[in-house]
Amino acid sequence: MAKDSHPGSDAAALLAGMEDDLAKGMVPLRVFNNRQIYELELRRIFARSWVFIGHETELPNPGDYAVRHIGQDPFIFLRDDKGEIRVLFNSCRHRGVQICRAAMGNASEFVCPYHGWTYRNDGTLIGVPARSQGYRKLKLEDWGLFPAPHVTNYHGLVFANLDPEAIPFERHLGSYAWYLDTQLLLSEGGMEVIGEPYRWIVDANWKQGAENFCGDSSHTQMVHRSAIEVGVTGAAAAGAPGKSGLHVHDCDGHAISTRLAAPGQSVFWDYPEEVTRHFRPGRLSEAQFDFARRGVVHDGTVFPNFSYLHLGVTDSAERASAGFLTVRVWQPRGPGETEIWSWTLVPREAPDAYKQRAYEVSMSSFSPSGSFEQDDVAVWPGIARSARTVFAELNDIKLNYQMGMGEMSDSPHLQDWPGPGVAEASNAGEGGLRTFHNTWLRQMTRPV
Amino acid sequence: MAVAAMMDERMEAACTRFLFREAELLDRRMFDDWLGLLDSAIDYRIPVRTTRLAQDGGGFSAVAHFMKEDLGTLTLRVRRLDSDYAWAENPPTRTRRLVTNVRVSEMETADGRAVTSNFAVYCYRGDNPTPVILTGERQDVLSGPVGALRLRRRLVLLDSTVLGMESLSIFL
Repeated sequence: MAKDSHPGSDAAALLAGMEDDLAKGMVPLRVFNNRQIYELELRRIFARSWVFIGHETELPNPGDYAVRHIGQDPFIFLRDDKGEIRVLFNSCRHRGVQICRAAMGNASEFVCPYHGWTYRNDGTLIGVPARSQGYRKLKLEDWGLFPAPHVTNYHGLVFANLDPEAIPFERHLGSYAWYLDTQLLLSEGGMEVIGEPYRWIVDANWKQGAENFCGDSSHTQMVHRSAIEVGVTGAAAAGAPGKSGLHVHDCDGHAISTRLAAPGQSVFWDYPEEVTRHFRPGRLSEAQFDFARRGVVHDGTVFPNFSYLHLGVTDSAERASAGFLTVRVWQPRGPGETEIWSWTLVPREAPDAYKQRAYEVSMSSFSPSGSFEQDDVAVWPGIARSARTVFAELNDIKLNYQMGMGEMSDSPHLQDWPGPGVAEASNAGEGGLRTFHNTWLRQMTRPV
Repeated sequence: MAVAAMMDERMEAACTRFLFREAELLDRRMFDDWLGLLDSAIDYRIPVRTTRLAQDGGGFSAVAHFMKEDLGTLTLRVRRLDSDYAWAENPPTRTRRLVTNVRVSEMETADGRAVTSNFAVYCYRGDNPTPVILTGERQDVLSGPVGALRLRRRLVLLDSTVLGMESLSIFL
């Protein structure tokens, strides 16, 4: 059974075998906590994928900034004095010191605390101490802060890509835009962020949350049983998998998981009328708008580590369920450590009182103290622990991702689904998770 | 003068006793008894904090909260913890609360008396021998007479910005 294995050969051997593994619906356990795999991920995935930085509404005013990360690298997300959103490497060009030492704030310029190199908030170097004595030939224009090579603002969501050769974000998203746009464009004003993001540390691999949001509909009835028991949400939203669920996988490398009301019903994730009266197809197709109207739960991941969840819950026996959108980043901090960043968003036209209400229910369900999220992160560290075992290595343990695969499923693919991707009329499947790992493998083995 | 000073001392002792009793109930996971210490109009908040430059203030959000609760939402949280399937707390976090530096205001407002204290909560999970330690200040308002104090308001000001534990499934 046990084969001789040297820790040094792990990553190459794991990747070499993974195409066959995934074809059989299996994923090697070790990818969830392996130093070599992780170091490759930082370079092959995070340094050359579109990574979520923040939302434009976090920076309402010129000079507003916030520190964000791509992989583990710090960047300043800011709105310069001309109103342009920029993503700049948080490192002085002189000695490398972090020039931005607060997590958020407002600044028209950044002064390095070490020697005083000074940058305008568009990244241009504008001052160097003792320049006339010792830096007479320095060309300021050559020594500005490094910008992320590509930055895009996609309906308010700002993504950056560190790969100079990167494909445009729209191509990375591909036809999956059909689903993402449905979350963002229901009202004319789009979505806005409420408050500062949550940040917290979980001893689990970053892929855990990313794959979960791709369509792990069968975990809810078990992990979230306590939340269902007390009536935070109904069985329709979080109960056992069934025919109310619709999964879409293999959608240009991304996936979405849904629970939908019957055709003709209007749910809109439990947004109240004071919000839904601002919803109209507008920039969406009728089919997209109908998809939103029937939405009980929508959740998905834009590869690699940006996930979203649109749903309605309540926080008290006396109050009605209320809808909100939460987006999050599974920021890697090591092979077995993730920092979760999460934001709550609501349609911009919603009344202020509703925005506050949406924040409260989001906090009560999907946050470090949330009735749902607490229990997800309670189990994920167990996977990271198993993944680094000698036993997993010696036995080359593969995990089972076969749910709903081929003849495992009791229902055929939907042929008449109006949206892109492969649609399944049941959510008793893990096709979205397989999509995630296939995209991951493609990116990990793509030539430099 | 002497009578007023005695009253203050009695109130100070009563407020301190209240906080110690509360810490005991929470450490012993007697959550229903803890709910009994809350005023029906309890306003309980733990704001999100971000690192800011000194000139920009303490960094506590006016909008974002780890918890922003009333009696109904706190009761629902306790009811959920009754379940055997609340995995974050089963097995439970073993907590030890140290409540110190209790400062009782001499003034009483319409809501009650302001009581500020420092706290450290040591959180042990599973067999990890290293606790996560949460520290901060609590700005409370206690309502009612000396013998029947109730927690009317609580503002928990954490010292950390990034929460160093996987979930905030305990009460502070």
